Amino acid sequence: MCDQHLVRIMANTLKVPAAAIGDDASTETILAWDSLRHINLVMAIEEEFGVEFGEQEIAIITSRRALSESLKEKLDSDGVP
Amino acid sequence: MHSDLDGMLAESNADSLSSILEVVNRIDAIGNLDFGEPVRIAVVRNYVIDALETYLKYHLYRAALRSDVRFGDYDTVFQEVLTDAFRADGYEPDIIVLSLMLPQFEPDYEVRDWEVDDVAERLCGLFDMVASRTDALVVVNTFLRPFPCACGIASTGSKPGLTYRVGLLNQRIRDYVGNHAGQFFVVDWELLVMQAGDSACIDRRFWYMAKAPFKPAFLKLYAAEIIKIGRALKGRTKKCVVLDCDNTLWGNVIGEDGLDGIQLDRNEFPGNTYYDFQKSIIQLVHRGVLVAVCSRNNEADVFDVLDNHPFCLLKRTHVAAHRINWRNKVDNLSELANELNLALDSFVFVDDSDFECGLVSRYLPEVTVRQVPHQLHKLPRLLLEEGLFDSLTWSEEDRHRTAMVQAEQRRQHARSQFHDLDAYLALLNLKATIHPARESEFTRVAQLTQKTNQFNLTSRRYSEQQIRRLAANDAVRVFTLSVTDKYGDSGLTGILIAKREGERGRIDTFLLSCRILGRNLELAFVRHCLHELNRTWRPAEWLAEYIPAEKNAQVADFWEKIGFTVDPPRAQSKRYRMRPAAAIIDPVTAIEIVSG
Repeated sequence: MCDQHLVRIMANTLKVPAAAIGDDASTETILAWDSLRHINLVMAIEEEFGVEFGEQEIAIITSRRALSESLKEKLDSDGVP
Repeated sequence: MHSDLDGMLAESNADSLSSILEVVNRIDAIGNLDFGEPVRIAVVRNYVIDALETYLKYHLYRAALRSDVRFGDYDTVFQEVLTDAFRADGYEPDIIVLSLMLPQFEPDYEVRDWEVDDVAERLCGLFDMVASRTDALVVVNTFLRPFPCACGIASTGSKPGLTYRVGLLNQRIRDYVGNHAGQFFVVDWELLVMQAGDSACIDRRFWYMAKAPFKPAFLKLYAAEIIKIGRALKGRTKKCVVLDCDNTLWGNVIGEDGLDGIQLDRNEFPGNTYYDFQKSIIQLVHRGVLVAVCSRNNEADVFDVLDNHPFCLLKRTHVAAHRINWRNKVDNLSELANELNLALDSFVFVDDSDFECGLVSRYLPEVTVRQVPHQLHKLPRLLLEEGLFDSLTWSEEDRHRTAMVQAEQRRQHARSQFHDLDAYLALLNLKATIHPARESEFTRVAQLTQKTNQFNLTSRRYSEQQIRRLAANDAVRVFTLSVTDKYGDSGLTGILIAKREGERGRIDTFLLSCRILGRNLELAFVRHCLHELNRTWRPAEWLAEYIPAEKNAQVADFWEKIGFTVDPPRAQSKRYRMRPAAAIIDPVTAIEIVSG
């Protein structure tokens, strides 16, 4: 459900085509995903979904999969659809 | 502009970082070629604020300006300024954003004692250094005062606390900018945080993790302030605000609700929102912005509000030009642009109507249209928020711009139309004799009421007998006008019959023979009669009417032209009212009046 939205945010903030963001996308596979864009990405996701990542999480959510899982977890626990 | 982009930008009330990036990325990909000259902005900073670029571009694109934004390296401010790094390879910035965080600038901040003077000196030294190396505009910032303050609630007698000292430092920055007006500008960070709130602005997490302290809401506001300067620099300053009247300058409809029925009372909602909106307009006038009024209304009704409503701040003298009529606003705006000698793209049009706003947007896309917000509490800030009228400096001359424009209009007017006529009239030695009708005049008076068709407001026909009775009645006054000039005597050529009806005075008949028209005698005549009756009758109000007849169309607007207010239209005639205190317009022409 929020996966498409997430990919779109990643494409916008990392400045890569959405098609380039595969299931395995991570800071390892996408060169443009540097630390500055990671800040934008985190801020944008927080803004769009109304969630907040902790310091420890920010260091971990460096792949599409990790992002997606972490986000789902937050949305589920917050009771937001 | 690219039609795609037009839509994209118009639709993008893009608020989130992601959606703003989407718009900006797409325009970047197209190459933003159609926007003309770019605004070159160099950001020199001592912390991480790279995300500002997106917002700078976004605001530039929305202003239809091209962007060329460059960022200096992180925390190499002095080196960059000293080596002119921000001007590398021929890049000459229009604007240098010197963006500084105090904890980075002053390592002793919050660590050990520091003196305001010392930090201010280093800071101003840096400003001087930038100023001496470039003609670019320089945008500096004030610092966020720490809260809670390390010294807690106690104010120490010996040494002012940190919060207080940062405040002093900020004042030194403002003073520097004030002394370098035109080149230096300051963005007050605390005001931005006030707008959006600490939790939406400050990211302490990323500050500690990446020296990136600001969240999207802050970046957007910060960029907007910087681009206001860019827009002013590129001549995008709006020069004229064109205002609708009903439900824009005041609530309700003057033509229907009357002077007492419109909402403009500063002590009541929603009158107070309109009152405060007018305050903002007066502030703009003092900054040199021209005000034009464009309204579907009777001109006299509108000016009645401007002249006589106790809470109307906007006065006749503030209005540089007006089109108050029943024609379409697209034509009216085009005429106003001609009259004021301004391009339409320097106009901001404000109206409450979807229809009018839509019409102007569609047919005059260069005009900036701002609709009166549905939520009226937002109205007072409507014209101030975006900085549409901001200019880089303002001078004493700006305060007088409206008066100068008006003086020029009068000159033009006189030259084009009236100069020769007035000079001619001045040479005529016009003499108007006005007095209550005498026995010897009754025949002529009756005859005039029967024969006069063109300049005759009510076309009431009276016999000599009726005139005699009217003249004998205490509650009626029949005035006659006789005119002479150096060429001779035109005789009895004008009549005004007034009736006293309780507290009111009514103008029953007003006519002039066509042979004395074109000399402003009608004004001198009606002014004199009403003055006279105001003294003797002391009416609470004057009533007048226009009854259409076969040949009297030329006077259809006479009453409103001279200062009466139109009452709601009735079937046959137009009815008017006026307070005795309201002045009838001056005939200007030199006319000697002899009464009695």
